[in-house]
Amino acid sequence: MICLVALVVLGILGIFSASHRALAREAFDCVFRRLTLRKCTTGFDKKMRMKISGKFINTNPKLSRFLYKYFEIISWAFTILMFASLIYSAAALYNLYVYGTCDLDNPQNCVFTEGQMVENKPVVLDCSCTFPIDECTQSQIYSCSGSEDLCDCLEPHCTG
Amino acid sequence: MNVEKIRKDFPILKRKDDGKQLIYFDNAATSLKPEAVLDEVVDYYSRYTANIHRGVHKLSQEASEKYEMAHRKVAKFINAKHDEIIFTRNATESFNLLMYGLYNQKYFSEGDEIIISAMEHHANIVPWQFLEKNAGVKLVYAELNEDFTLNMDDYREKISPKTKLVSMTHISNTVATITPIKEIGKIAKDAGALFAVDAAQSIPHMKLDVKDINADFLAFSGHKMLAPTGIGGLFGKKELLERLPPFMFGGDMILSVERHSSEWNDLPHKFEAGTPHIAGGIGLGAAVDYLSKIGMDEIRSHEKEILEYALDRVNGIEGITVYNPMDAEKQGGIVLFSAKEIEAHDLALALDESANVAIRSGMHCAEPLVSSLNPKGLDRASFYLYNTKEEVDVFAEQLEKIVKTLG
Ligand SMILES: Cc1ncc(COP(=O)(O)O)c(C=O)c1O
Repeated sequence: MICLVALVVLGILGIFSASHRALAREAFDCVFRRLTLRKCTTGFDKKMRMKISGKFINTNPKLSRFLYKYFEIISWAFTILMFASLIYSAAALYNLYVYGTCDLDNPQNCVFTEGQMVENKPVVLDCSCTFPIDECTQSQIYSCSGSEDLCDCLEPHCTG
Repeated sequence: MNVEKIRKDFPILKRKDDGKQLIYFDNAATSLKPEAVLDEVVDYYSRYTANIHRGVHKLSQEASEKYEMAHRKVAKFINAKHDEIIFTRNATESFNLLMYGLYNQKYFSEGDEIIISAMEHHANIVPWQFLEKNAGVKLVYAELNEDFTLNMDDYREKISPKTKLVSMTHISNTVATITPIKEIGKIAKDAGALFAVDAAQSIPHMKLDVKDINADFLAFSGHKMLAPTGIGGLFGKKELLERLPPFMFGGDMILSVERHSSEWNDLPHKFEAGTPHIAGGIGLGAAVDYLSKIGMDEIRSHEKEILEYALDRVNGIEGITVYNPMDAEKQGGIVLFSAKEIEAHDLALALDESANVAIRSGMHCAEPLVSSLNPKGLDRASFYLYNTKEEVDVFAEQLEKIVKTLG
């Protein structure tokens, strides 16, 4: 299972580093064999298991043992997580393309929502008011016009 | 023997990964190369690159001379004549040359037997299997004793007038047993059989005299004895090589060529068709010089010391099983072992990852024997002249830690 996760991760890392590229190639070979219902003869999964658990033999033997013993389960967990996040990302991209926001329920939570590209956290605009900033939701803009009385959380707007 | 001084000759021993010094214990697979060999190879390419035996110009003369000299050096190293040394790519090719030669010579008849031992490398098994299929020859195995030494009684029992060839390893690349090669040869000769020796694991580590052991043929690899990869050799008694038909055909192996026939060249050229690995051959000559300067007896006694220490340390680790004769007099510098509940490749990877110790794992190209000991393979640490007891300490301590952690 690790081959699949590793292929994605190493594929991205491989863009930048030659050593990761070689591992990504091995991962691809392994995935390809699995997809065609053959055994992963490259030993890639074993290699990754030992590369990861071997790193901790001297510094954290318990962690090393845990990774070694439960590597298959951990790989499954990562594979499921990877697929879940892939599905989420695909849905978000679809929403962004069709509706202009990646989060339909809370558009302010999506940085790519139209008109909200500039800032997504409370900002204090040019004043020293003491309004508790925590009360603003993340994407609101904490703004004031100079006097303490006017300090307030405002709905998102472009400060452009 | 000054090991610290020797270590300085091997640039790769300075290598560190993640701050950890490289510990190279995979010498039975291939050895490291000293600067003296590397320099010779670079010198050929940078100062006198030329094809051999083909040009009258200075460069070609120089290259030819050096390449021929390498044959002489190797010959002297094992007490042979220079034209009895054929350069090949490796021991595997040497065995193939011999097998095809005997096959084409029609040396074997249906029902003849070839005896090998149960601890042979694939290089000394698979070529003979070809003859089983194609010449009706039977391959017979001499078995091992419980302590992994060769069962000489079994060998004596199996040899018969049908035996036409005995091809035996001198030192096993797995259990490391040193076979009583001289006695094996005498028994073979008395039965009228040819006698071939796989010396891939012995030439690099001990003094070897082909006349003394009375070998008809002897195969070895240069890369296991400090030389570059891609160069090896086959020793053959002159009268036998002269009778053996060529293995490959083309340039350099002929004296004259007519439209429909050719006359073969003298030995050893008859078996060295085409442009050979010139730099490799010259490098092999330099490796032989280097080993000779240190002395093979010195090297063997250093390895015995390291081996005794390593056997003791590794065998003392709980959860580890060792598969060797456990006697430095009876075996070469190899510790073959397995760990309870940890697969061979896992253990080798863990040693590499956590302590930068390079060992070999798997079937070691000796599957019939290794799979009978452990179907999932075994681990092997093998030593050479540049290894130290301190390295063995690091290896054994880390091995123990891994077995405790992952076992
Ligand atoms: C005993 C023995 N014979 C033959 C060989 C084959 O050597 P090469 O792979 O260089 O041909 C080896 C290599 O490991 C060996 O150990």
